[in-house]
Amino acid sequence: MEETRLAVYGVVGVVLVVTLVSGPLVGAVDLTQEPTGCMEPVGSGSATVEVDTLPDSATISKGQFGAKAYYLNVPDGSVTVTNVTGQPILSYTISIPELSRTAGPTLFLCADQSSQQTLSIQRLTIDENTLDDETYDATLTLVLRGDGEEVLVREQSISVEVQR
Amino acid sequence: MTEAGRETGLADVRRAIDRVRSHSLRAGRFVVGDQRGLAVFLGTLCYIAVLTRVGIFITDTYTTANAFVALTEGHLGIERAVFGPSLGTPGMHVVDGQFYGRNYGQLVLSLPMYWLLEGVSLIADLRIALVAGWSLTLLWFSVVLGRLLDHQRAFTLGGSAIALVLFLANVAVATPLPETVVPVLAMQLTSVLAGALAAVVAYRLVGWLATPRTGVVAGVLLVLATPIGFWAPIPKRHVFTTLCVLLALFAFAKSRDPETPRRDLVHGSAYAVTALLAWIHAPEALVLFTALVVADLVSAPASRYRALPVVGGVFVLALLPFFVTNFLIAGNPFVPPRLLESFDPAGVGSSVVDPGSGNGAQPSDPSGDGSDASDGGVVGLLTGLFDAVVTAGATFIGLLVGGIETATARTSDLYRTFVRSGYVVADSAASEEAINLSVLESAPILGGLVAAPVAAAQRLLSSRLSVDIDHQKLREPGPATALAIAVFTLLFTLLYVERLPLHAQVTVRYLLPLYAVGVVGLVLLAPIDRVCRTERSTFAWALAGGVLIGGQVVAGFVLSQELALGEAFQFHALAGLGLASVLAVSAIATPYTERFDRLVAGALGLTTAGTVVFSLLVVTAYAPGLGRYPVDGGQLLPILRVLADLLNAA
Repeated sequence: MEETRLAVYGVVGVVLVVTLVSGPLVGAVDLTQEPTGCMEPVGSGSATVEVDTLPDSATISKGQFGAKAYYLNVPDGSVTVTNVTGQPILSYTISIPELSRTAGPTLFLCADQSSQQTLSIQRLTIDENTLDDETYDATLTLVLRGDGEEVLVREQSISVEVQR
Repeated sequence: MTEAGRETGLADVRRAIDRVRSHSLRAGRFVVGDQRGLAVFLGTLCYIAVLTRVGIFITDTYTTANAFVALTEGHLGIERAVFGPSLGTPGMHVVDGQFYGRNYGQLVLSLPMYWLLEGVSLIADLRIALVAGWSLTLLWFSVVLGRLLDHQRAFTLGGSAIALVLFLANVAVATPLPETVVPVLAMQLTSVLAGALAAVVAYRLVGWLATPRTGVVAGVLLVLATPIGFWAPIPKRHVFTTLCVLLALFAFAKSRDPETPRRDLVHGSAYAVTALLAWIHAPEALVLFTALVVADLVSAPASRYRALPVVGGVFVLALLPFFVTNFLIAGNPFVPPRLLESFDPAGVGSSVVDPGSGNGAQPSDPSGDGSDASDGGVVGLLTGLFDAVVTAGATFIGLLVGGIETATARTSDLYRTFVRSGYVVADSAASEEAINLSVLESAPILGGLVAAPVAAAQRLLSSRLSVDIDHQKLREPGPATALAIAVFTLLFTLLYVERLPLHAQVTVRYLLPLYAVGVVGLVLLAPIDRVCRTERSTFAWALAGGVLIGGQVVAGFVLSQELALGEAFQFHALAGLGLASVLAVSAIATPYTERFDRLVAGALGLTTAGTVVFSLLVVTAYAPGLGRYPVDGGQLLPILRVLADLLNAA
């Protein structure tokens, strides 16, 4: 019986001491650190972006498990980013004007990241009723924003095939 | 000070401590009932904390959070948008150019938690304090569990080790909580407490009507096998409604028993709870009130009418905060904020959050034309009351009639709300993922309810059709409560069915109280009650195996196939329906034979595991897919954040 009591009091003691010691009243240690990442303000600085690969076609196909929707699938592309200062923003989008849809990720570039960056677009839901054609023209756009400037890195048209 | 004086001083202190101790013991017993209730409370609290993400994940929380900040500063009107881009968020109401929120009852209940957090943040880093609180709750839970299961030593030592290891692991990867998030966190933690208390009340209700063992199963199922666990940390009204419904049912059931001490007061407290609910959401309170009145009229013997003054008095007294709040906002005690003019969020609300993010704007809630502020005076007050009653009555009946029309004319919508969801076209222009599960898909445990008609038929047949639905029987707590549950379920469904299926629901959150009464109804069925009593270990092992093994298999599959969010949700939906049908088929046999009891227990465990795995994945693996939000403090427990990052990097 004694050792169970000892265990409980011991754990309670450790938990309380750690909590108090790291608190603002004692302030002996700071146990909560921001996750490592860029501390630079978002949208500042600049970078050199080189396109390695971009997909030249994409597909729209039916979702699995009765999701009853069509999905746009775009293969991954990649870029090499060098000379990063600050935390510039690289936006990668696919737009299909006929379906009036635009999608794609925003990458926050940082000096301590690896230079190779994958460009992937999450599968995007398309309402079946809007799909009248078999193929659509789409545009891939890579835009770099930093220090209030906007640089068009690459613009490329691709075709999107509907698989029914 | 003399030696003797010091001794009396010490004795005084000791006596004071003893008094505090006995008072808090009595208060604790009043809330949780007994050791089992305490275990249900602590266990569900730990589980809900695992599912908690700190922040605002649905646009109309901006409104209530800003209203809450105003309340902490001592006024009802909202002066500035602390959260969100502007004051034009969904659910905002305007009176004479002054902005007001809604659900004030919920906000007032969240105030003590806000003060507590403010106090704790003076002496501790909030994140560390929360982790410490969670670890100590876990330790307390294992000690109580050990006492209950007669393995005190093993559970205490094991629990100590696990609590310590998890505490240190969480501290090792802890990140600071943004200071601005504290008001939201206070609302969230109050809601989490409401969720855990709902489990306790389910335990006490079922434990009292059936057996304590079945009651424990009810409490566990309430949080684990339904989306209540998932919604509890999201500071909306639904979990409070659920708690109020269960509390009212518990008080109502107790009031049927002549042995209950202070019976009239207990009876009155059932109605007091509806008054409290009116302070949060008046239309839902009206449904609960109507269900209680109907059940009372049918089941109460004539002698109960002597209790009317007490019951009515308690009810009116409990309505006071609601009236005062309405008066301060609208100038009329009988017009709740929801009946006031809404701030027109057109073009504002929709841009708050990415429309594809899954948690879009909530459509406007039931509302009618609010009557103007009264002129004051008794006559004005009475006219106001009359107006409000007429408006509320007309709106209410209009909604119910609309519900009946929907239920009869649009059966496919009903099917999609309750059975198979699929893709729901969003109101917004952009398409949305198929992420809105039906009731059965999100809580496959309810598949067991098919045993209800079978059990009823079997009972009727075995009593040789002597139709024992006589009045005498309805006066007993069990049948009377069943009646109240049935009426409530019917009215509550009719209230919302017109607007369902709807996007931005994830798990039909509007109907959250129905999951609770569904689970309570399920375990109260005589054959399921028998399974809960006799096959507890099968249930426990199926649940543990389903979560630990099945969870990994499902996570591995979903991640390796790179399923889109809608596909992943629909995969869970189909898995849920599969489990639900296994449970349904085996449950049909239970009224006739005990041979399949073990199978039923296994199916109960697996359906519960299905909901647990889904909930865990939603707050980790699927969380980024559901959208990025500006007010986001990450998962409450740092190790869950690390797990989420790992799953998303995979």
